[in-house]
Amino acid sequence: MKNKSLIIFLVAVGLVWLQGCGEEDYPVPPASTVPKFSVSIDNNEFAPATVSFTNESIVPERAGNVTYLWNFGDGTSSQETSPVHLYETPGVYEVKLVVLTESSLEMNESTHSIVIKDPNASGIPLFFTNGSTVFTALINDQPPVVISTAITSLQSSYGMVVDTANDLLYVADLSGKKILVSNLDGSGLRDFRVDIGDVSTVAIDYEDNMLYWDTADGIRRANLDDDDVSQYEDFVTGQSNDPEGVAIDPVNRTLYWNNYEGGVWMKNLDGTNEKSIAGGDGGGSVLVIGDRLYFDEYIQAGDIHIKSANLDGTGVSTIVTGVSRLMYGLVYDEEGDKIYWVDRNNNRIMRANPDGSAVEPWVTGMSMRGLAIGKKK
Amino acid sequence: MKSQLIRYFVFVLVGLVIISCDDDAVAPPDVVSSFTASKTTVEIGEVIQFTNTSQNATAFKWSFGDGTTSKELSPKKTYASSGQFVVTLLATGAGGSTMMSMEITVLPDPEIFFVEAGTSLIRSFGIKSTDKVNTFLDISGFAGVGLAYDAENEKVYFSDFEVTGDGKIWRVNLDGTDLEEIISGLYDPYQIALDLVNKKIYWAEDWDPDDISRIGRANLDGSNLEYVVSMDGAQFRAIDLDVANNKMYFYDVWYEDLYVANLDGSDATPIVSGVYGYAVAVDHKNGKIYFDDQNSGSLLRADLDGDNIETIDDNGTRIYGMAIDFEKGKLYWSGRDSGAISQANLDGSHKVDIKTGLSSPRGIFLKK
Repeated sequence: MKNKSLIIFLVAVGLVWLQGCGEEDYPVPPASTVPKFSVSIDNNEFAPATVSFTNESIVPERAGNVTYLWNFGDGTSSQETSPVHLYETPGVYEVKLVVLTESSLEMNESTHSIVIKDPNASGIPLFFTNGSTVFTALINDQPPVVISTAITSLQSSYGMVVDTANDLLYVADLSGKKILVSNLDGSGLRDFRVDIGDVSTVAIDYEDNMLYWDTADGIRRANLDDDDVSQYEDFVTGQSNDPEGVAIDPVNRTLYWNNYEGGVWMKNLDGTNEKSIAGGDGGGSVLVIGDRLYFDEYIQAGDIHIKSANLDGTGVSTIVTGVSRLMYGLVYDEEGDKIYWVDRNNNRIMRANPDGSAVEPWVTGMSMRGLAIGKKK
Repeated sequence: MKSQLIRYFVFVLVGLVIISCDDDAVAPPDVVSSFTASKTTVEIGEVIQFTNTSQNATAFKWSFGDGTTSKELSPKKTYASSGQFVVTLLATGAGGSTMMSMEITVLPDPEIFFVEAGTSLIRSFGIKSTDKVNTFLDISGFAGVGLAYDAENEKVYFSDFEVTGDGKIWRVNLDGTDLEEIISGLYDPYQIALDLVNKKIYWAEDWDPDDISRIGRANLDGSNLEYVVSMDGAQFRAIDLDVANNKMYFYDVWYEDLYVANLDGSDATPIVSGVYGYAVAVDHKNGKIYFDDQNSGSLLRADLDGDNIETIDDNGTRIYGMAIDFEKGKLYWSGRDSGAISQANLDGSHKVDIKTGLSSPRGIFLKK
């Protein structure tokens, strides 16, 4: 009996030993300060722009007195809680908020990059999309400044084309099975054609004012002047390799397309002479530059090539190697004499001379598709 | 025996409980956040080296008070704008965290003010932040070339030759308020200069209908106007003062002479002949005079007696404004034709165009 109570006592002491220091060994982490802010830019984000920063930092009571330190990325700073700052010069600015706490001794920071657009910027606009939002950046002698257009909620887009005659942007939405049209800033977005198949890419024939697009098994076209959202006609049918990447040769009145499962094809715009002109294991784009045809070709995973050929598919040469993924977006800037393409899995847009020399990244940090080139502004 | 063993075991166990909790109570060494700075008062762009002297810490975060940070042990820092900044070092170690702070003063950026004739504005920019050009005053309809500054009273003076025969001198506060016409009815006044000891303003005035050119002076409010030099056929364009030595230097473009005279106009004597231009600046500390010569398209300097002429710059521009920073040993000048405002050492070395692309800059002053 005595032993029994002793054992109970022992167990109790053991429990104290196990538990007694537990609180110190496993402290509940106290709530920490989280710096956070939102940004609002006036003047449509063009310089000069007044930017309002709204401080949304989370500051627990234990933090004590708080100091907010802002750096506006232009050499100036502020200690206001929610400052307003004027940016007179266009550019990309890294804005940082540092939160210092007196009692909890924290020093935490948050950074936003803001773009103040240049109202006088000139260059060739390039458009591209991450699938849902359409972005644009100017090609000029400055580093590209990527800005978002007003188009931000596509279902899944792989292709766009600029109607340079009417300053309109036609956007294919694969999952939406439709083509939309908007102004070049993305405003005025509306359906151009609906329920038209699995459309990846689009191309314009200015002579007949027709828009061409690919589907899962053919090519369709619609009259640009026709407002009827259901008007179109089949131009190519019965393609088994999933056509992609349509392009027009306006001089020779020819349509070219690539195929996801392989093969580059052509057909005269008058409907004659449909034929396969080059082989390969698949691609997403074609491009006509003068008397040369450019297309991408799958070699192996992570190694897609850009090839160049005569307009009849002969004389194939390899221009660029090592592109990470089939490309939806291969365009030519005539003024700068550069080809641009998307390198999606490497999160960049690349460019090079048309002969494949001087390959360089142009925009980095973005996985893009659907390149479309506009006219100089 | 058995129960004794148990008792012994209990004793050990209880002791263990006590000791194990005591172990936790033994605190790691206190973290001391501490650092020194190579300088605590700097100019914009000047490097400060911070040296970390913290104790018992293993991780560091620096806040420089301008929204920039660092995690280096002993960072270097330059500030891009002037003001007071509190630098804080957060040092963290096994014993917790502590902070230490230190105030850094970044001196104001000296500013160049200049008349921009092409836009009829008086504008300014900081010499280390030249990207941003501020507009100080719109002088459309009352523009000229002369510009001068009274730092003590924060008053800006400028000449106006918009209407020949009714040339004016204006003054305005540095904050842009209280614009007032202090002198009117002049023939075209050009460069102006201030004598802040005797509270006078001087100006070089072009010839009147009788071909008389003059050096005038008045009180700073425009009262007591008097002409101290009148010269038949001359065309005065520039003036600067050496008040400490009771001298003024003025420049005639017709006969092409650079003169020295007493402040009351007496003993006017040419010190350099065969030169003409639109600006003069006296460096009384080093006994030098700076002047532009349009015959040679050069900015020249000479001893105060006109000897030892040296070329400071020779880019051919007409120069209407010069300013000397005596503390830093720098000369600033504007180029009407070059569209530039330039800086050089007083001997002309290390010349830099600190601002280009201006539309016909004329008179300048340096506000420190």
